[in-house]
Amino acid sequence: MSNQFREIWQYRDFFHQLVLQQLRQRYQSSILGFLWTLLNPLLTYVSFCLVFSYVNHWDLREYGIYFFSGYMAWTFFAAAIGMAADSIVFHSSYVTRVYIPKAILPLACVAVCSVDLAASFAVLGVVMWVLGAHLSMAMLILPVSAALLVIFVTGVGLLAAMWTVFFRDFRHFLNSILFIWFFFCPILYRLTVVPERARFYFSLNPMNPFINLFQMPISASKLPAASDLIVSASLALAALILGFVWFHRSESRFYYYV
Amino acid sequence: MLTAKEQIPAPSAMQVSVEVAGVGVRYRLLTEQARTIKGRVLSAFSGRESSGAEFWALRDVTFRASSGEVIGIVGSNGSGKSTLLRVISRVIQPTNGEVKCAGRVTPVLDLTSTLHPEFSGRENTYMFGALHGVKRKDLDRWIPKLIEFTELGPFFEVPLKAYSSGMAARLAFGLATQLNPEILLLDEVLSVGDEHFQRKSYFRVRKLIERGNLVMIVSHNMAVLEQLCTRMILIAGGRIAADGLPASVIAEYRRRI
Repeated sequence: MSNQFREIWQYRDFFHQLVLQQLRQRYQSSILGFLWTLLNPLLTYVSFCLVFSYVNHWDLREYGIYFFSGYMAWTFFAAAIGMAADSIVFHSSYVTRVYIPKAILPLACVAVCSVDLAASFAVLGVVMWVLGAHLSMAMLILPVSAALLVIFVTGVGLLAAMWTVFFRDFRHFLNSILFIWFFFCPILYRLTVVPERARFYFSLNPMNPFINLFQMPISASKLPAASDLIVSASLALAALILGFVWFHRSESRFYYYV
Repeated sequence: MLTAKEQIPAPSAMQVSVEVAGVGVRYRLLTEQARTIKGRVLSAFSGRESSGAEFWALRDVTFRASSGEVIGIVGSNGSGKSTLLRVISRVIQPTNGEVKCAGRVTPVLDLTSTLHPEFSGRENTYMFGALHGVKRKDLDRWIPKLIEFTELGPFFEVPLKAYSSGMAARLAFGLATQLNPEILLLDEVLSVGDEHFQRKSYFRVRKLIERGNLVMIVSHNMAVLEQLCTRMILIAGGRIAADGLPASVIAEYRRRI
């Protein structure tokens, strides 16, 4: 296990280069290309905002902040998992032509998406300014929220990358899962609108505590509940350990499957 | 089996070696059954193991090589030559046996595959260096020599997709041989570019040898191998069929085909 991390550390230049390469590809290839990556989530955001604030009988300003806070966490989660899932198959030449610790490939994807997450905090600032919302002291907890989510995504991303190598159809399956999962998360609505008899099942959603870590400080100006912090930290740690252990046990067989 | 201990004493202080002990590699031929969830579920229900066909690409391969040796590996197609280089470069984990390498291994198993078409020669150089453990400051020192050797000139700063295939191959060969490789594995990449560049790469490999590097070359070009190599290994059916001086191994190879 410690061997695994030492090796990843030895290849940090490669990791660095890979992250830079992917960022440059995204942000440099064309100005319009970059705008498109911004425009798409923005259009989704605005239309969901208009429709669901109306359906929920919710003040548009208040709803705009509430929805954005959960949506930025979800967007990072879904994008990073999707990219990580593709990473090994996409970079198969690094698997079949040279030796590298393969975990670097999904880890680089998570790093690239983390840059986007950081950028989305800037967008949050703009959205709050436009909607006339106020900053609060509670928002100082957000770096912790982001860190816990990144750790969780790292673990899940390693698993997704591995399963895609062994079962190509996992990638399609993952898309459907992420699509449905989004609607079962309290992002467009509050958990309180869920009927009593179904609420227990909704509360099992492992994304809930992570979403709360973003929604509470941003839209309610309150610190998240201690239970949310504890549960999300445990989930993040469990996912990280499971991800690294399982990935490491199977990475030597990737060659035969990519 | 022929053996020979004709080694050129290495002038450099650095001692590198490759030790291959009892290595076997078993491939499973993957069918759709083993590759999809549907296939796995079906085979689990039917109680059949989704093993597919098996075959041994290498069996009980043992040899030792050290600084200053240039080893040519020959054999007919599918005999296991490339698999051997992949095991030494750790791309494949052997099914049994062990490989020990002292020194940095630079495998060039396929000329341009790890190069990225969207990126310039320089960016690809940084990527290559990062992949093979060459420090950034060493890279910057080597880049002028690399540009000179590959004769890329202004193309070095241009995305690879604008290169001719000869230019891309020159860059790849230059990267492999200019960044001071310690253990260099070349798979069928010796006849790159035009005659002028081929002669240059021939002398480049010679120079590496003189510096005490260990080079292993897979090729079908007997003439080049005979000139370059200090030792040759013939592989047939995944096993070492002959190991010794180039002339005798080539004779054995010719006798078999």
